[in-house]
Amino acid sequence: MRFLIAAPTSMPLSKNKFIFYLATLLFVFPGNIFAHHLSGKIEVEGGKNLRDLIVYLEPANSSKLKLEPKLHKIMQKGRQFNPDLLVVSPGDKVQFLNDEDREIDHNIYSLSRLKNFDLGLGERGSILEITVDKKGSGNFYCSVHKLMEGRMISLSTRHFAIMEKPGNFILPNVPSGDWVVKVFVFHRRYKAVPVNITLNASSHENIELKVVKK
Amino acid sequence: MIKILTTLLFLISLTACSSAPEIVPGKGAIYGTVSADSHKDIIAKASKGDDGIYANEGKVNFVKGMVNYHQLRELYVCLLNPSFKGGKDHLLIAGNDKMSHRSLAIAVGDKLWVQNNSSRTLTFFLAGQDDSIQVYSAVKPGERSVITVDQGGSLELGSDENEALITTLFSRRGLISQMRSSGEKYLFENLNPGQYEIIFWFWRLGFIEKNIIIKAGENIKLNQVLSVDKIMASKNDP
Repeated sequence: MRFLIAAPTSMPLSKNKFIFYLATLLFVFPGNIFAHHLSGKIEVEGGKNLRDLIVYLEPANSSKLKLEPKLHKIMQKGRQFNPDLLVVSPGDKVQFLNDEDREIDHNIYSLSRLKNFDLGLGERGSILEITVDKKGSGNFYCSVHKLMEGRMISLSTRHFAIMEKPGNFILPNVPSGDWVVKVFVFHRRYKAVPVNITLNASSHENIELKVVKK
Repeated sequence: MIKILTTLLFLISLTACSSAPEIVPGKGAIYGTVSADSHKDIIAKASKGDDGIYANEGKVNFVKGMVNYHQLRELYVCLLNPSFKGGKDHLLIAGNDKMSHRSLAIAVGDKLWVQNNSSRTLTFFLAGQDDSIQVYSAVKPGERSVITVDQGGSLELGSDENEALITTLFSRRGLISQMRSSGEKYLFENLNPGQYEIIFWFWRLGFIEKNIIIKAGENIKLNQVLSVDKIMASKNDP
């Protein structure tokens, strides 16, 4: 069961749902909707149905970036990481909670470029923690159980949405300024073409993002 | 009694000789056993005799769904020397739902063949860490295609049409490799004296890398266990 971080914006939207969400946002935030809610669509070359695309915004000037650290939690019941896809930022902490309903031990580790860690024995009821230091992506595993693996993406932004498939998206509450819209693509055959945008008080962007073959 | 002891000593010395390669004048060798094991904390808990589902008579009890480290296949022992030239042929076979290998260690310059034994035409690619990619020509069922690997690092072979067909590759310049199951022996012999690197790799765990110096007329024995804690500790080695 996938736990989506930024629901409802993280869900791929049908056209009707997209219009519904947009209308709701317009109603709730009538004064600044055009400046603060970015909508768009992701199209993949050849129409391939790529899973778990992450659309996100980074400030064009990264020196303006200042994010308050957040705490994320990953559960392990049923020998599965939940969520198994987590978007974090440098400075964030991630807690791994062994919430198994019987005595099942885990050993969570990662040898990725994002973060090397080995949390040792994780018995039932344990809470083990890491701090993410940098941007990047990597997998983490349980060394005990075959099918226990997860993915972690560290981005310098809180403005993102996880999309189970290509389509429409909305990123709410985006401050005015110059931004770069990017898409993180897990499938290594594809890459996204970043788009530069400027959001100001009266603008409303409806952008098209292309994911193309490398 | 003395006769029995002499025979026993002879047998022991014979066993020792058979496990070590013959010394070749002017050359050296490296040999040993590669195996995989559970994390030391899991082993320690099992040894305490806890009645947890992982313990059985003081050992880790590998039940369904667990990684059975003692039965792992595709452990790679790799030897690196810049003087080695690539060009070796490797073959991966694609079925309808998986590849023949989950992992493969290769050298930059090696030829990587892909045989399509699935029921549809497949377009394979070899992707590197960043934007680097090599794409095969489309391969019809029953046919094969080849590329010369021009990238190093952690690579992934996949196909446009079927995401289940994945092989993780470990690629370095000047690499020769031997694939072993856990507990099996490896041997690199007839090596010229000089400095080498030896790498022990399992795709889901990572690798341990060691520098070795091969001397003329000398064989080095090096046994290696791959586990999460040992791999992590090796990253902190100076």
